[in-house]
Amino acid sequence: MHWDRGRVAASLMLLTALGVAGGVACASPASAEGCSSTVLTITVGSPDANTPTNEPGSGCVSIPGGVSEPATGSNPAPGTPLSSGPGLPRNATPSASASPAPTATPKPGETDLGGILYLSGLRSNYVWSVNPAESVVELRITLRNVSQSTFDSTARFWIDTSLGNTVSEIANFRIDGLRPNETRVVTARLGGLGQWTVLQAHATIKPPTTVDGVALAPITRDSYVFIPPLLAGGIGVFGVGAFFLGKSLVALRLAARARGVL
Amino acid sequence: MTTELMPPAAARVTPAGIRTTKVRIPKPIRAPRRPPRAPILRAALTTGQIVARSVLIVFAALLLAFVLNVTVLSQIQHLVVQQQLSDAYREQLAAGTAPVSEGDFNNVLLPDGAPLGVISIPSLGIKEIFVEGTSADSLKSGPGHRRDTVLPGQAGISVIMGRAAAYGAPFARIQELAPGDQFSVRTGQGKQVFTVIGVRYAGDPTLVSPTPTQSRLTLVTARGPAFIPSGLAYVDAQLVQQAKPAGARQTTYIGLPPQDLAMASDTSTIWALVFALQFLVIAEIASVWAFRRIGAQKTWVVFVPVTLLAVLFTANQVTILLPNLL
Repeated sequence: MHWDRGRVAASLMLLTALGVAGGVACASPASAEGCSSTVLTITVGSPDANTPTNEPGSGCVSIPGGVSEPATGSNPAPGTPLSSGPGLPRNATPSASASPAPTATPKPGETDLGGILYLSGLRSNYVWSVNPAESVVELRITLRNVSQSTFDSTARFWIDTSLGNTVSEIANFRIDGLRPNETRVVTARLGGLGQWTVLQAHATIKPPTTVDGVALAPITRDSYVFIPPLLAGGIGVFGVGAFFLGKSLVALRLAARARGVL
Repeated sequence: MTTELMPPAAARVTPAGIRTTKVRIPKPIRAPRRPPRAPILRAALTTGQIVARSVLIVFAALLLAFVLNVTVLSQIQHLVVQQQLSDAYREQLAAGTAPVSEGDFNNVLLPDGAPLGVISIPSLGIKEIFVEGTSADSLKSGPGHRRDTVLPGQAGISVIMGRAAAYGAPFARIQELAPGDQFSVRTGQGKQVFTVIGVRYAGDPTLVSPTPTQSRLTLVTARGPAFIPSGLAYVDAQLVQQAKPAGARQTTYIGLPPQDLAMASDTSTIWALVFALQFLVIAEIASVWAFRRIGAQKTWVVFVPVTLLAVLFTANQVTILLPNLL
């Protein structure tokens, strides 16, 4: 009888803990979606050079010359500009005869890379926080202009959950005045991510459609971010600990009662 | 004859002269709070059920060993092999016999897994001996040089592939390289310094071919979540110094073994998997026989290491069947 009472108490404690954890788990997506516009900062090489804008996307990008759409492996959210490959010359082929039109003449000691815009991969860095509402991921991508012209680009950063829903986004961020032979680092801090454990970050750089007579297309880079579910995990550990502690206390109480102490 | 009886140790004499003895009264035996559980009578298994149970146990053990091998043991194996390769390559450098072509200093074709050089990317903490060949078996040792391309630093395009998750995951972070970053590769022709051009994904247009006097290095790995590759990532880099002359190459792209291509699996050693499975089944049968005839203790002592070896050997052969850039 006493054991039954103890089991009921322990079960109630476990259910309470699980309920709280589940509430957090359910609250995280909601808060994350609610914070989809919670963009903290975005910086470029020169911080005061650009400010985020909210211009609408330009839709799909046509590919001149009938080049087939390369598979970039990205999974942009519905309604977002279609990624159609890197910002490399469309007419560049593996053969040397199909070299693009860049006419940049390398200075002594430099190398003509034979392109227009080169990118790094997308680096992601999770800023630790126990509070799901303060989860921030820092995304960083590097651009290098190897053409002879100064041109502007736009960037879109967004983060999807493993279920595919976008939880945070920066769209149409302008990268103005990328000069020839300039390397610029664009850093975006996206918040409101909750603690979804596994997230997929994307960045799409959209250069001008033509630079130095070479047709360009948007380029997308992906990265995976792991956010440990600290809050839900902590509550789970606390709940399990409370369950076993309560079980032990009930057993001690029953033993004492059997001895006649209580 | 008089006998003096000594009082028991527990006896005491009161001041009034009365002897008292403390008698311990045994506690009454309490009935258990709950009756003991009745033994569970299991139905006798048929021969088919016994076989099915054994097969499922072996399959579960294989699955566990496979996961353990890919996630944990492969990392240790990579560390050990890298140390051995480092020792061998240092000896070759000291003796001036480090390869500069597809053959060694005796003009004998280099085997898969032979050390070719050291790739060092300080910004990512990478310092790895890379080997000849890019099959799944070769890439267990470290990054691999594709046979049909020149060595890093030689005029032309050189390709080095590396795993992204298993066996040390040497190229897991190469996508973090940004245009302008520098890294070095040491071969038998000296230290070659490269500047990163950029990162490409599979399907992106390739760069224009280098001029005959230029040297380019392309690092290749898988991208996507760890152990779940979803595509390829390339990092192109340009040599910043004068290109070295290219050594002789016997292998062409057409002659490249299919298992050396990116994301290919190596089925050339599937015979070893068959033998490993046979070894595992024999060990299982022998352990069951020993359990019934000799006893549990001796069977555990003898057959646990044997079965463990068979399971890990099988799991290792299964791992080779996975994509080579995993």
